Amino acid sequence: MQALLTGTGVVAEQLRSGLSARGWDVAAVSGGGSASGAGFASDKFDSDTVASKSTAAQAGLNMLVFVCPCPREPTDCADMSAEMWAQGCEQPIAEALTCLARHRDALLAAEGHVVFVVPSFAMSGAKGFSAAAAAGEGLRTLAKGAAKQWGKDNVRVNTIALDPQHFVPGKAGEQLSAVMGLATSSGFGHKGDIAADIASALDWLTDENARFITGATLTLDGGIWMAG
Amino acid sequence: MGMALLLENTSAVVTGAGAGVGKGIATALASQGAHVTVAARRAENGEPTAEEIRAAGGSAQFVRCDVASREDIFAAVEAAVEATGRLDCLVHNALGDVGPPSPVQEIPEQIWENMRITALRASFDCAQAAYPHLQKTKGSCVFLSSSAGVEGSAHLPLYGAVKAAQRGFAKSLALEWGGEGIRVNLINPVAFTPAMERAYAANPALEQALADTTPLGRVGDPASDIGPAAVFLASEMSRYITGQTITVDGGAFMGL
Repeated sequence: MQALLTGTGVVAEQLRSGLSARGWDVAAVSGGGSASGAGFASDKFDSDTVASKSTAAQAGLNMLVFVCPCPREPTDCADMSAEMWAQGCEQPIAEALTCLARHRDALLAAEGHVVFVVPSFAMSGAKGFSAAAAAGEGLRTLAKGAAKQWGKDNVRVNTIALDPQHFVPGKAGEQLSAVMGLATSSGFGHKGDIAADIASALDWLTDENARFITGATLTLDGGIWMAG
Repeated sequence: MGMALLLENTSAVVTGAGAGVGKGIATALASQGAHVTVAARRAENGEPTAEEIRAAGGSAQFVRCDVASREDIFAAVEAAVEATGRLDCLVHNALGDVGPPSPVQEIPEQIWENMRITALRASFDCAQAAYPHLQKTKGSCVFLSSSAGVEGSAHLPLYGAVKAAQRGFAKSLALEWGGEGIRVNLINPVAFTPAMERAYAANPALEQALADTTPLGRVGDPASDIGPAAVFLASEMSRYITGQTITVDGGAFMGL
């Protein structure tokens, strides 16, 4: 089974490891579905894109995983530069669009599955992470739109929302999780292991047994966020 | 003795206020006593909106503002502060051309640029421009979003995505600014606008189809249906409401 994993950082690395351990043949790229990581504006319609689409389509792609980038430190909106906003909010959505366009044919060939992986604070908002929350919510809803369009082709598109601590290390991450979970009143009290707990869910989502699930968000955070 | 106006002695900026929902919100805010800075890209509809407000006894000024320009957004806010000494509410409503329905894999680059600039970047610029002034008044921000930003759109998937991004952003701002008494909310409207007028012309059956799927049986009016929700969110009446989305669509979408 072929998987393409787009993204960088701990979440992407551990997902790759977890999926590989479960027998997936995982190719990993840094962003936008291309090795260069170029965004929507620069490479969506170039000849290289067309060529790579046709090559991949022959092989088929069973799973496309897009991991939402997230800064490791908080920055309030008032202190954020335009560049930080562009990288944090605009670029991930552009790259996701590129990714969907680039790999549609390959996904169609295998009746594959697309998964967006976002921090669960996309749904609640997050102090100091407004650009990432915007990107995450944008991706979650892009997934729903794509699911509505591609369902007839048996290509499913879903979102997995993870404990913020997977994306944001240390005290800042703990604080984000605590705010979402009303301190320690809910949840298992640990963020889970990506390679084990999250990759297994991703594996199942792509399985035939999950064939009727599309446009959904699975919140895999041990019970921190139960609001929907 | 007349009723006190809800927004007396306050100042608001409304982007995209030359037509449609933005114009409706601008007139509604002004009708409750706010001085409204009509921030619009084109003078030919921005100026008449301001004039219409003044003719009705309200207070308004037109400022040419293309939300693709950070400078224009800051200038509109500064104009509001210069005219009144304060800013109590910023409403970001303007949005570029969403384009025709399109498969997600074929969205033209120009449509992405329209959405990136007017929905994403302009929200960021509006927030940064308004923030220092809203700190002083404990004011509020209102973003116009859409139910497509909650449920996703099969016709306009990118539009749904950027409207959702505005919700994630607004909730984060509500968390960042709540301690200073600044509130940030969203409105998901369905109302009769010039864009909808064009859609009706292209597809005459659309009006009835929309009415049939709306429990209240009609499409909203920008000034009398959407405007009051903006007045409420700008006023003291909503002082304990932040980070929320109010759907004003006659009950068409109940998924929140």
